Amino acid sequence: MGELIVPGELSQIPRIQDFVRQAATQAGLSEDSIYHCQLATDEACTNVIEHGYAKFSDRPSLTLNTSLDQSFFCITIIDQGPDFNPLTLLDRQPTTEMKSSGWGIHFIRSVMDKAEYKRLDNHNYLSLYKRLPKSSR
Amino acid sequence: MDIQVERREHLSLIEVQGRVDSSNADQLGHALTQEISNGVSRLVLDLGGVDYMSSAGLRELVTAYKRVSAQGGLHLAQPSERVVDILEMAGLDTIFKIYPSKTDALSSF
Repeated sequence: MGELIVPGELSQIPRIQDFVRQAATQAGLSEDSIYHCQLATDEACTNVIEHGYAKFSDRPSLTLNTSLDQSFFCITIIDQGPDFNPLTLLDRQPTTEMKSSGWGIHFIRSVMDKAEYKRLDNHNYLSLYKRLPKSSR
Repeated sequence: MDIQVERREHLSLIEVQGRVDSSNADQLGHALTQEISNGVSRLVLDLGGVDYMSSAGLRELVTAYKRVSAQGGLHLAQPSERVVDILEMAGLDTIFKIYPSKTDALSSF
């Protein structure tokens, strides 16, 4: 469907959100599903920028691709950070402990229908999937 | 995001409008920290105008909560359904005191 390449900086998050909204709307997702896609993409990109790119003096870019198949709308986030699969992180379930971080991967798993990771040509590829409504299939 | 801070006799009211994500959550953290550094330990955070908050925003809330919970508190007013969902997903809805209106939150101290 589309591609966005942005500098790997937190200031780009609103631009990323706009890109996701536009593509998810075009795919026919509901407002709730669009919001879920924005939240999951925000959390994934923030994680890359804050952790994956932390040691770079010149922050690499981030690439986002959106695509559709018969059942899913997919957002793929491609980063140039070290080999890291965020889906291997222990899912942090809701807790009464008052910790102030580590919710990102839990939110991604909670709001998206599927997530996949692969490492290819020194890049991390994280794909986030939202099931399409029947009317859009 | 727009943040307005109103100092009252025994507390501060912080009203937030817009989206809170990792690009601007530090501004919210700064506003909360500034009030706490000025000796205010009773904070009401009006989230009625916030339609989106990511974990970056939650981190700022938790950091402030930890600093004031012993002497006062950080009470949340009229969060939207989506902000409540985020609080629930993080398991924070049982920790923060959440009020349906600004008036209720202000009178809770």
